[in-house]
Amino acid sequence: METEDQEVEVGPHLVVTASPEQVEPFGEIILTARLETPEPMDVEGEVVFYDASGAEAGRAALAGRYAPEPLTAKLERMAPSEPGSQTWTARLESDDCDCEEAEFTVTIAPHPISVTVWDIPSAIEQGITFPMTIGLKCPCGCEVKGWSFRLLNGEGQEIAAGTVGDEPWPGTTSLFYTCIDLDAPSVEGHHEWAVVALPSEEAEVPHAERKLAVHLNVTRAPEVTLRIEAFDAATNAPVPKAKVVVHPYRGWTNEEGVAEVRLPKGAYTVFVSRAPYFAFKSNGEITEDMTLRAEMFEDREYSVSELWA
Amino acid sequence: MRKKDKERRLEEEAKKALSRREFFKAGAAAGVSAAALGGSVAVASADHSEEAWDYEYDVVICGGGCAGITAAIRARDSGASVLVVDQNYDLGGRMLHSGSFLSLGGGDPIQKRDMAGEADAEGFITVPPVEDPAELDDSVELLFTDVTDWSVVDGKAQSPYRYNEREMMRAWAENCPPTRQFLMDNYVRFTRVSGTHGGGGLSRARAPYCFLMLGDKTDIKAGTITREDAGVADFERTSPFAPVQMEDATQFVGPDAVRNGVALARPLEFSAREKGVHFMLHRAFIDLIREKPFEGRVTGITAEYRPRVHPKSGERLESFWQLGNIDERRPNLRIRARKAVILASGGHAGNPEVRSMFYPAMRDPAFPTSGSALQGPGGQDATALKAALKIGANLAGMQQNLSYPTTYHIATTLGTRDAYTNMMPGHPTFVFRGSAGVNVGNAGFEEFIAVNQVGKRFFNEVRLPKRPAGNRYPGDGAAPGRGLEHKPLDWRNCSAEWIRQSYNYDHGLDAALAMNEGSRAPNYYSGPIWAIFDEDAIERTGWELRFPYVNEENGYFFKAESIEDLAAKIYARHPYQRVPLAYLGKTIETWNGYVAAGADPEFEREKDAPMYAISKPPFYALSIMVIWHDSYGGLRCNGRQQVIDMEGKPIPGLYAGGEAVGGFNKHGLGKGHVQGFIAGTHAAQEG
Ligand SMILES: Cc1cc2nc3c(=O)[nH]c(=O)nc-3n(C[C@H](O)[C@H](O)[C@H](O)COP(=O)(O)OP(=O)(O)OC[C@H]3O[C@@H](n4cnc5c(N)ncnc54)[C@H](O)[C@@H]3O)c2cc1C
Repeated sequence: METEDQEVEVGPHLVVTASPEQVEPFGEIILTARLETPEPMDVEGEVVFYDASGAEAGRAALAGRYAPEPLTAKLERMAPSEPGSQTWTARLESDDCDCEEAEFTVTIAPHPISVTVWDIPSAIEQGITFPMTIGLKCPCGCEVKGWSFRLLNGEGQEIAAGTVGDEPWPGTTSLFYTCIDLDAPSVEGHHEWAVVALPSEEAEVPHAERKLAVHLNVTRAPEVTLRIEAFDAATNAPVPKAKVVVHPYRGWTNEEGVAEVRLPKGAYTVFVSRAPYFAFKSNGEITEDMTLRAEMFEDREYSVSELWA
Repeated sequence: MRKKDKERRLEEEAKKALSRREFFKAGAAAGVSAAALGGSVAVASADHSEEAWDYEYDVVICGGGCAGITAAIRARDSGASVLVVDQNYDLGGRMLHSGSFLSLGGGDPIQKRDMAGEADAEGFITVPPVEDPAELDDSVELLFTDVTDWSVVDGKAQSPYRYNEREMMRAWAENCPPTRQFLMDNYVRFTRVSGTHGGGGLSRARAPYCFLMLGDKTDIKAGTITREDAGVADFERTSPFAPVQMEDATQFVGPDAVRNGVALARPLEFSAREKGVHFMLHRAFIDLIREKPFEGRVTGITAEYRPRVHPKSGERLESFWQLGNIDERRPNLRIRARKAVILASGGHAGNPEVRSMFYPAMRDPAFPTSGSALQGPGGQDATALKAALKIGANLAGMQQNLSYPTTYHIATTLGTRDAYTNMMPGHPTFVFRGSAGVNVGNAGFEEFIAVNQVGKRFFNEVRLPKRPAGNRYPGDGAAPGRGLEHKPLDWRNCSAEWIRQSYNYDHGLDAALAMNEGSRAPNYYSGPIWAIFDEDAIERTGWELRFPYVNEENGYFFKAESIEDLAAKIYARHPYQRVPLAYLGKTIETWNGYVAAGADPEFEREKDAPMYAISKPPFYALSIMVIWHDSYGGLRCNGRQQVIDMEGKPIPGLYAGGEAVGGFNKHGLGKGHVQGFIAGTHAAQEG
């Protein structure tokens, strides 16, 4: 935001703009200082920017000749996180020109709330109850313990609401979470729901409401079993711990290289993958119980000469 | 002259040496001190200036790597006094780092040995030849034809051989057999031949590796190395002797054999020190001194003291061996070359400004060259090119940087800037790397999304690390007839039909280098790229995200509790992340939608590999590196490796070899050793 256009005083002065007008906490802020002089003049020097606490926020060189463009010094840096408007200053350090310190305004947007949703099964059978874990966090470090959220369905209707708990998710320090059980929609297919995180009224600084899309794959009840036998094409040995993806169904091969996936009849793409193999892929119609032999070819391992070629 | 006496004394001490360890410890004491040799020696200055020389030698070599040490030994063998200046703290350059896959040919002694089904003279090789005799049946003519073959076109539709400098190639082909013998005479041991290295021709098998045998003692003369020195005692450590862990060579030698550049560089260095070559380390050559700016002889060089210092201890790094080292710390020196200067300081792969001549996007310093920790910032900074251009040298093969498939590529090792090496803690320069990285292989690329500096996906991830095959025996898709079926100089090799069939370049690298919302004038850098994944990916893969593989302090690995935290950490702490990853949150939200739908409308990932949601905290980012590996464009040389000026004349007293030289699209060692051999031969014969 440009500072109020001050009356041009006799003598050079700096005009500083901060862009964007409202910057996200920890986002990028671009400070541009323009040296206005009554007459074109050669100036070499540096503009030093100071934040609201008076600490140096950075420096940028100002150099060249005034005409035809005004001299500018540009600083790109990370914005602070404290929301609201703050007054910063800028000073020109130069042997060629004396000028007043300039004030300008930096405005930081309300804190975002990080919403994380996990543990949703990749395939949810119509009408069953399924789990979902919802976690909230303030990336700027505010504690969000007990903050609330709403869960909206595809039509925007609230289907659940709740709060996150008092304990952070294991392995984290400030991701507060809750696990909920939900009723699956009765209509088969893809559903886009949303979790809306709501700022607490008790929060010390303003936070912005945040909405995250959540995707559900609702399926019919399984009818057939697809058995996958993964084996190494060169040795015929079973390939254990291979990932099996028959979208939206997922599984793993066991020690015998076998995985069984229950699914409704239909057309599927089957992937079996595991380092260091190329992903095995097969398309087809599955209408009855069947076995698929997944021949796994080693991803042509680069020889040293190729890798370090 | 006093200096001559010193040199003689050094040689005598060297001759007395018996075993390698004791010898080189004793050698440390005999290291030439600055006081002994470093005083200014005023000589009648050949360039008629009044300035004094600080040192003078017959032959002065800039760079102690592949081409440099070879040239040094060769010139020394002819009786010349030789000084090698190297900007690094130790010798070997990229040769020490290399895989030692050393492609020569033309009927060289190792091809002949394998053809005859013989073992090596020492009897280390116990396995039969890997290649059939017919595949080894080579000649200088065939090699020359191969490396100038106009008809060969690679999988990227580039022509690797047709632009090679013909006179230089002829000399190279003729000197391949004697160079192989020369390397063997200087303690280098070669494995069985197995195929050929990139740019080494399509008709015959020409490349063995270099090996040593595991033993109780590291003894170059006996051909043994301890497990500790070889770096095979502990999977997570390398040694000061071997920056990269040596690899098993059972397949090409027999049990207990190990191979890589260590088995090439250390023996050559040993021999050079033993024969009385002098070395000035921590010393960067800057400029050439010529009698007149663009006329007359090159009479010497200027060189600057640039110590490599451990960032934590503040101590100067010291070379593994010291014999023949000159401990000279004055900031600037003028060093006279009575006979010749040989430029062997490597290429320009680490100089973003020079690289950008070929690909403007590669001006971004975010992308390093291979082995940057070992070599330091001065390792591949184009000094030879810059210095020679200043005195009127010409260039050759500048377009050839674009016609070698690995000149630049995306590495499968993530989470380290120096992503083209296996160096582990234990080597003094690991500290400049900070982490060894996680090699996820090609298959690992299905586990994450790759985003650019603003947090947007830019290509089908699983296609990013793919590289077209090299142009080398036995064919690798580079010609319709593979192996012995290949017909040199046949127009069908480059028929449009064949090229259509064999073309296999995915442009993922170019998408990674494309401008994006964070690219700003004047350079419009594309910026760093990141692999982003979640805790589930760790569970799927078992990737070990711990030191020494990753390091939370070095800016190439991040772990965070939310995607927003992850973006903020990268922006705050990665040295080249100039803008925030403003789109990362949205990208992941969209991606998770694609995963649920089983289709990626942007990049069609679902066609190649399964897709996984990124949803379970914590979240991770590993750097993905675009690496500029080596250099092909460079100085123009004739068949004697003399540098040629813009008028087509040799610059008297100036030679070059290795990656400093252009006009030969051959990868690596095969080029450097032979050119060093040729340069050393002729430099020593100068009047
Ligand atoms: C990881 C890796 C694996 C490789 N594997 C193979 C392989 O298997 N087969 C193969 O053929 N090739 C391989 N190469 C390539 C090969 O190592 C190089 O192409 C070859 O070493 C180049 O030889 P050179 O003499 O030009 O440079 P280098 O061997 O790099 O030597 C250059 C020397 O010059 C010094 N120097 C640089 N600038 C200055 C200066 N201004 N003043 C003084 N000294 C200076 C450097 O410190 C260095 O010691 C590999 C490379 C790497 C990095």
